[in-house]
Amino acid sequence: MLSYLAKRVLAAIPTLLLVGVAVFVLVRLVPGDPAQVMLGDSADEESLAAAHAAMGLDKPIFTQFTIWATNALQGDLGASLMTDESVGTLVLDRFAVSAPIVLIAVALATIVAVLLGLWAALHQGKAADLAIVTGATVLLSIPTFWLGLMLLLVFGLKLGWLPVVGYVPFSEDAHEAIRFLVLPSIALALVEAGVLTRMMRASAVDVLRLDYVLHAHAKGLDDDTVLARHVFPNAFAPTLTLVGLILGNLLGGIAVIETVFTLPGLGRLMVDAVLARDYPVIQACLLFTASIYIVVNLVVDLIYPVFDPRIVNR
Amino acid sequence: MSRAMLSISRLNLWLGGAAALALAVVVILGANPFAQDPFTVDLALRLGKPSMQHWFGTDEFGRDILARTAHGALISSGIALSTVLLATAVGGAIGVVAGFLRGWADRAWMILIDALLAFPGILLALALVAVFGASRWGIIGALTLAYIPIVARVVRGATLSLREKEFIEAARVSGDGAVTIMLRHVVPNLAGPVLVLMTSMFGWVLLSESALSFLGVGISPPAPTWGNMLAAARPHLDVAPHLAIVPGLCITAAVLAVNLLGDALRDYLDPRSRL
Repeated sequence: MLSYLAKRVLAAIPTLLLVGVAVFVLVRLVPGDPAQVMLGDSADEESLAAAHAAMGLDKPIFTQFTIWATNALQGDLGASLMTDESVGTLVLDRFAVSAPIVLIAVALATIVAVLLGLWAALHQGKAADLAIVTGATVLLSIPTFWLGLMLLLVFGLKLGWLPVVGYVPFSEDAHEAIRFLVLPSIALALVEAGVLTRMMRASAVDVLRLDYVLHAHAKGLDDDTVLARHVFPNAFAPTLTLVGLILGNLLGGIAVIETVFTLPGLGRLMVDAVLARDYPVIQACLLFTASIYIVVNLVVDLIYPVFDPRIVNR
Repeated sequence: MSRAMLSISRLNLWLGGAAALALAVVVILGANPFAQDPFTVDLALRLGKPSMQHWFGTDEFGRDILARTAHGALISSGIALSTVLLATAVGGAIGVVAGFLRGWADRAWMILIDALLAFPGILLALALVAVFGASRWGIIGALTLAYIPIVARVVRGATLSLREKEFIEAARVSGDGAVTIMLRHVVPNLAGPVLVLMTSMFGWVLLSESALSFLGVGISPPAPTWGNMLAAARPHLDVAPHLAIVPGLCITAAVLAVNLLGDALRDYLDPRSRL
């Protein structure tokens, strides 16, 4: 068990390091001179050279990387070229907006998917199963931002139940904050519920076929106990891996939903940085999101044995 | 397989076919030589409701939405098709060579690929658009690079199991070189799984491309794409919801058609993997 955990944790370290290199190289590939972007087209040679020196751009590329990586490890990701704010604080502030939406969406989607997936698998081939599978496929084909727009149209503009534009932080007014999170979370949750339901159903169908389920029934356990204690854990294990991937993917793709609902989140920060060529912010967003993705998947790997202990001995 | 399984498979085929047909009708109606021009501005018709002349209504510049939707379909599917073909060619080549030859080259490629796969969602494509620029080929380049790692991973996995098969051993014993074995024996046997992957990928790329356009970093107006039409429709959602409904339905129908037909294709090629 301990060696399984250690192996997983150690395997994440080189990936994190490579992500750092990839982020650094990627931003250096961008055509154009960051100093020029910062100072504008009218800047003269001298101020450009001064800016190069200040940003360390006059040093060899390898030295630039070591300086950047050392600072990044100490939590110093530089300052935004546009607003001069500390990039680290900026990213964390924006993450505080995006994180609750993603977490609520994934939690909702997982609960719905487990229930519908098990239900469909138990009624395999019946009308309910067909309806659930087809419904799930339709849901996962809808672009989240369009679903968001349609929810906004119906519940925000036509019915007027929920706010349309803007955002209130939790620290100011928790009740109001939740009202702003409902529609974005549901839009994300519905689409991901489609993906997860199909997965849950497929693995439950496979598990239900196995002899040990028949054995559990044969020794006299009632249906609910068999389902909860024997079918669910085994069928849920592969779905859990997918939940981890989706959690990261939503964080990487949340910009569209933040655009629909005008939320000042991490995704919108990244898009605005791309549009403004704000390199330190692009780097920080990439590095931060990829690190979260790696850590989330690591945590999923660490929880996996709870549902399927066999993985430890493999 | 039971009858139940067959009926899901058949339902997929029917629904997917219907969605594809509906899209084809939209494209034919909106992009034929007699149809409205997608770029003609008529400010008297701003945000017009559907009418006999403009079946899907007109947008914020009075341009015909049917024509723009149809032309958007051509642009978006062109980008998606180019991306899928390029990513499959490059990713497939990396996957086959790495998986077949193993050794240090395999390890080096996989390290690079794992690092790229650590960027979730459209993040990598988004960052790459900053590198390549938001032209048509810039978008294709960014999306291709973002999807190469996925193809390479899948193809390498399939190649790893293929290279241990007896017929590959037989080819090796009969004196075929590595290149001949890869081209004549490995690649043809990958066709099935790769075809299924390409179908799903077409749907993912359509979604990614429309997301980039929606965010304002994709193909820029006045050229229509479903994503930038939706972005333009957002401020007018209250007074002219049809601006947002038509392109959104089209993206959904396209992705749904690809997903359902992809499922049907997978069932046909590999009956054991039925959902």
